[in-house]
Amino acid sequence: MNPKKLRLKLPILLFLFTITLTSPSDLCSQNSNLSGSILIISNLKPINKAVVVLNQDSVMKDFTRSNDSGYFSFMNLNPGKYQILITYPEYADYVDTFTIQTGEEKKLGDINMIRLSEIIKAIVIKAYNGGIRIKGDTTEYVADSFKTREGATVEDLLQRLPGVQVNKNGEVIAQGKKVEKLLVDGEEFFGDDPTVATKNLDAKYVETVKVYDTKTDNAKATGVDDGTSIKVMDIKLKAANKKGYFGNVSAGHDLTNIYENRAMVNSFTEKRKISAYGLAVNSPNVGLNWDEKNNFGSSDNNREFDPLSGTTTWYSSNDDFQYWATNTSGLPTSKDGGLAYNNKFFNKKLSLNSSYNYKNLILNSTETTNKTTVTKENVINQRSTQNVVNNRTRHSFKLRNEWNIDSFTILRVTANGNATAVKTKTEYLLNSSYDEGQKLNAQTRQVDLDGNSNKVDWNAWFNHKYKSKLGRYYNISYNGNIGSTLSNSFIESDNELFYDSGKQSNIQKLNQKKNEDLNNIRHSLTALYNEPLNKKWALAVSVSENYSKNISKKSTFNNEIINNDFVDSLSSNSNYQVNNTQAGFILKYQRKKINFSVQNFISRVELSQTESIRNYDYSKPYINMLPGINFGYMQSKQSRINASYYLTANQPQIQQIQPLTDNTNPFSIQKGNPDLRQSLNHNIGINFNNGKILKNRWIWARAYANIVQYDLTQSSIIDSFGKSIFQTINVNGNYSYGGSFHYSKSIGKSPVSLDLEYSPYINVQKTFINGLMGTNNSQSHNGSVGLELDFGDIGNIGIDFRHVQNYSKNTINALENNNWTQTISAYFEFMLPGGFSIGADMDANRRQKTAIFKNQVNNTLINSELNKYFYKDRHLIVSLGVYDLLNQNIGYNRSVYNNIISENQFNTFRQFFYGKVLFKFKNKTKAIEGGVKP
Amino acid sequence: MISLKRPMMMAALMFLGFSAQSQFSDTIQVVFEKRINVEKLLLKYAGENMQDRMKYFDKIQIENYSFVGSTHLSIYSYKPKNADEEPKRSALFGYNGTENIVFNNYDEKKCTISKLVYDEKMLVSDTLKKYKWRISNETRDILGYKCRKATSIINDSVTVYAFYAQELLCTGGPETFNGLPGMILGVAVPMLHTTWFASSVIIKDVNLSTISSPTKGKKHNYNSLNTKLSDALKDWGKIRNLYVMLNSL
Repeated sequence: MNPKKLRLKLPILLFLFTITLTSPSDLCSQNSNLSGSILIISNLKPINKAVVVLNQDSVMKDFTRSNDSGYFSFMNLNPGKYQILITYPEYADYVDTFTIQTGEEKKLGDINMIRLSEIIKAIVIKAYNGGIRIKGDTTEYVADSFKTREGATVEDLLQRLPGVQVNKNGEVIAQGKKVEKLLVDGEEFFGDDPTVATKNLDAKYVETVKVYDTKTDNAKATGVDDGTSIKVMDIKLKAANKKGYFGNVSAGHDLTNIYENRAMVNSFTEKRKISAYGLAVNSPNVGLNWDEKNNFGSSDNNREFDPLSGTTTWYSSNDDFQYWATNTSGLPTSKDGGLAYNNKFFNKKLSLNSSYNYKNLILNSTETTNKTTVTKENVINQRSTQNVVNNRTRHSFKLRNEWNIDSFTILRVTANGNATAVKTKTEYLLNSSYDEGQKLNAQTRQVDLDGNSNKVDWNAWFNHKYKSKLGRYYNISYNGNIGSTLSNSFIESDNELFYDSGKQSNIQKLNQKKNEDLNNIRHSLTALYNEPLNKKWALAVSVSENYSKNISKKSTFNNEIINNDFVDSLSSNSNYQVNNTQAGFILKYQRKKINFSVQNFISRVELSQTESIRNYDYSKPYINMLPGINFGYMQSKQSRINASYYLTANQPQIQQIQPLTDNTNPFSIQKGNPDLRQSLNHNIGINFNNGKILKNRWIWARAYANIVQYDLTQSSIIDSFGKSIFQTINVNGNYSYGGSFHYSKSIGKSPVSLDLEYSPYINVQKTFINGLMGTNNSQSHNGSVGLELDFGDIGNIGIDFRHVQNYSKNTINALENNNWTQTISAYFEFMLPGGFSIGADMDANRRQKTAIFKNQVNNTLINSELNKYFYKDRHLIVSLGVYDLLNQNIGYNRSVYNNIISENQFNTFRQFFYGKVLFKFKNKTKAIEGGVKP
Repeated sequence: MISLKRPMMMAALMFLGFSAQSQFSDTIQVVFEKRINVEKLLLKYAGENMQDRMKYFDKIQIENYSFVGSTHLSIYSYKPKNADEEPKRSALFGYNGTENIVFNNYDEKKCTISKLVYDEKMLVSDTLKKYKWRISNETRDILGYKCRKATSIINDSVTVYAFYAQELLCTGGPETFNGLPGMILGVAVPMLHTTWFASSVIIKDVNLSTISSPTKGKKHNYNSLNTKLSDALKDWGKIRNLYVMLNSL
C-alpha cells in the first residue's frame, strides 16, 4: 500500500470517527442527569430494588430501581420541574419535588425511607398531629393537622402552629423572628399588608403553611450578604380552591358604635387570580399595617424625636408605611379596600401580579406619661399628656412582571407607588419638676399638620444563564425611586422656665407656621457575574453604584397678626447627596452536606450637604471594608446547622453631623458633631433546626451576638433649666447578644403537645449623661411553657405560661431595676350539640411591684364567642361575643432605659358585647370541599 | 373501648407488616381472567336492538389468558381451562380477542402482536405501547400482592385503571398494557366494561422456553392497522369506535 495515500486518508478517517463519536454525546451533554441513594432510616442500610418514579405534571416520565447499594440514576433528562416518588413494599412512600437545570448533575443524596409499621405506630399514638415537616431551613405545617373552628381565619390557624405567634397587632412571629413577607401561593397578596390575607382568608382553604428565611431583595441583587435574612411565610391554598370562586361576607356590631364589616371575593383559574376585598372596621380587629407611631412630617421626613426619652429614632424613608403599629394605643377607625389581579400569559412565560389598595385610617389617642430621669445630682419628674387625632388616606399600587424570555433569561420589572394625605392635630402638655417638688419647666403645645406625600419606586432585574456552562450567569439590576412630601404645620406653644428655685419664671411664646417641601430621588445600578470554578467552588463578583439626593426646603414664619416674618434662623434650604460605590467578591463552596462562603466588599460612601440660607457646604467620604463568612452543615433534611459572621458599617446621618435647627421643642436641642466616623457592626449568628418525625419532636434554635465599634451614641447634657442638649458621638464597648430556643413535642399517647420557648437578650451600652460615662447593662429573659390538648373534631384547649424577667442597671446612678411580668394565655374551643360552638381566649397579665414601680399592675382580658352554624356545609355562622369580659383592658406600659424610668397610660378598647354574621360562599361544583367536618 | 381496640389493631397491623416479607421476582407466570360485560357494552354502542341477540350469548364473557415473562421477554396468549376447550361464541362478532398473542421484548422496547381481525391474520410489529401513567396512592390487594393503582387514557378519552405489584420486576401486563414499575396484575377499562385480573401467580420454576415471537400474518404497525380498521368499518356507525378500540387493545 502506498504510505502517502494512507497518510492522507488518516485525518479524514479520524475526522469521521470523531464526528460519529462526539455528535450523539454532544446532544446528550445538553441533557441532565439525576442520582441518589435510598437508605433505611433506622439502620441506614441501603434498599435494593426500590421503585423510583419520576413524574412530570403527575404523569410518569420514567422509572428505575435502586441497585444493591441503594443507588439509582436517570440519564438524559430534559430540564424542568419533576416529582420523585420512591416506593418499597412495607415502607412509606417518599415524595419530593425539584427542578433540574440544563446540563445539571442533580444529586439527591441520601434518601431515608421509613418502615410503614413505624409510621402506623406514630400515627396511632398521635393520630391528630404529625403536621410538621422540616426540610433544610423550611418548616412546613399541614393545615388540616391543626384544628380550627368553622369560620376561623388564617390568623386563627397561625396561632395554633408550634413556633408561630400572632400578636395583637396582627404581626406574625415565627421561630422567634417577625415574618416580614407573607405570600399566598408563592405570590404577594395585596402587597406588603399581610393582614389582608390573615384576617380575611378562611383557614379551611389552607393546605400548608411554609416558613423559611430568605435574603433581602437587595442582598439577592448585589450578592452582598450582610447576614440578615427575612422570614417569609407562604400560605398554600388547597387545590380545590384554586378553581372557581370563593369568598365571605361578614358584619358585626355592638349596637352602639363599634362595628366590623368585611367582604372578600376570590376568583381563581389555573393562570388567572382576581381578589377583591373591602372593610369598614373600628373594632380591635383593625389591621394596622403601617407604622402609625411615625409622626408624619413633624420635624423631618425620616426622623422621630421623642423629647421625653431623649431618643431619636431614624426611619428609612422607604418603609415607613409598610409595617404594623408597634403600639396599640388609641381607637382606630379604618376603611379599606383593594383589588388584585394576577395572570400568566404566553404559555405562562409572562406573569403579571398587580394590586391597588385604598386605606383610610383615623386614630384618636390620648396618652399620659410619667417619666423620672435620675442623674447624679438630682431626680427630675416629668408628667405629660398628649392628645392626637390622626387621619390618613392612602392610595397605593403594586405591579410586578416577570418574563421568562427563554429558559436561560429572565426579565423582571416591578413598580410600586403610593399617595398619602395626612391631617394631624396634636395637643401636648408637660410639667417638669425636681423630686422635692420644685418646679423646673412647663409647656403647652398645639400642632396642626396637613401634609401630602407621593412615592414611586421601580426595579428592573435581568438575569441570564449561559448555555455553555452550568452555573455561569450574570445579572443586572436597576433600582430607583422618587418621592416628595409637602406639609404645612402651625405650632402654638407656651414655654415656661422657672428659676430662682422655682419662685420666678419666664414665659416664651411661640406662634409659628412651618412649611416643608422635601424631595428625594435615588438611582442604583448593580451588576453581578457568577462563575463556577469547578463542581464545588464558584466565584461571584459584583459592582454597584448608588446615588441619592434629598432636597429639603423648610421655611418658618412668625405667625403674628400683622406680618408673616420669615425666620432665617429656623429655616433651611438644603441639598443632601449620598454617593456610594461598591465592589466585591463572594467565593462559594458546596458539597453534599456542606456549604461555605467567604466574601469581601469595599465601599466608598460620600455624604455631602449644601445649605443655601446659612450658606455652608459639607462633604465627607467614608471607606468601608465589609467581610463576611458563612458555614452551613446539613446533617439530614430535618437537621441543619448554620454559622455566620458579617461586618456591616453604618454611616452617621447628616443630621447627626450637621443638624438643621428645629425648635418644635425648645427644651431639647440637637447639636452636630463633624468628627463622627462610621460605626462597625460585627454580627455573629448560629442557627440550628432539628426534627424527629417519628417522635414528632422539633427544635428551632438560634444564637446571635452583635459587637459595635465606634457606635453612634447620643450623649445628653441637662442644663439648670431642664433643657437637654443632645449630641451624637462615637463609642466603643457596646455589644449585645441573645438567642431563642423553641422546642415542641407531643407527649406519649395523650392528645397533649408541649411547647417550650426561651429567649434571652443581653445588651451592654455606654451612656453619657452630663459628661459622665456610665455603662448600662440590661437583660431580658423570656420563657414560656405551652400545652395543647386536641380532641379532634370535638374541640381543643391550649394554655401557655410566659415569664419575662427584666434586669437593668446603670453604673452612673446605680439605678437597678429587676422586675418580671407574667402572662397566662389560654383558649378553648368546643363543639356543642345542635350546631353550636363556644370558644374563649384569655390573657392574664401580672406585673411585679418593685422599688421603682410601687404598684403591682394586674389585669385579665377575656374574649369569648358563641357560634351557631347553619346549613349542612355550615356556610352561615351567627355569633354572639364579648370583648374584654371583665372590663380590665387598661392601656399600660412601663419601661426603664438608661437613667429614665417611664410609665405610660393610654386609651384603648374596653368591654363591649357584639353580634356577628358570617356568610361564606363558593362555586357549587366544589361546595363541600372546604374540609367541613360533620 | 377505643383505647383497647387501638393497640389490638396496631398489633394486627404490625403482624401483617412483618409476616409478608417482600420477595422480589424476575420471572413470572400469571393466569388472567378477562371479563367483558357484553350486554352492557353492546347496549351502549349498538342500541336496543341488541337485546334480542343477547339471548343467545353469555351476557358476561369470561376467558382465561396466560402470561409468561421475565424482565427481558414476555408472551400473553389465550389459555383455555381445559386444553381441548373451544372458545365460546361471542356476541361481539368480528372481535376475536382469544386469538391475540402479544410478545414483548423489554430490552429492545419492541412488541409483536398476532391477531385475527375478522378472518384476516395480522402481525403487528411496533414499539412497546406507550401509556401516560399517573401513579396514585391507592392500593388494592390482588392475590396477596399490594398493588398500586395507576391510570392512563387511551384512544383520547378512554380511562384505564391498572394495578401493579412492585415486587414483580417484569414490567408487562395483560394485552399490550405495560410500562409500570412492576407487573400489572389487574386492569379495568370501565368504558369497555372489561376487566383483566390475575387469578393465579407463579414466581418459582417458570418455564421461559415457550416465549417466542409470533411470525405469521399480514404485516402492520399500530397506525396502519387502526387506519385499515377505521376504513373498513366506516359504515358501521357508532359500533365502529367500539371495534377499533377493542382491536387496538
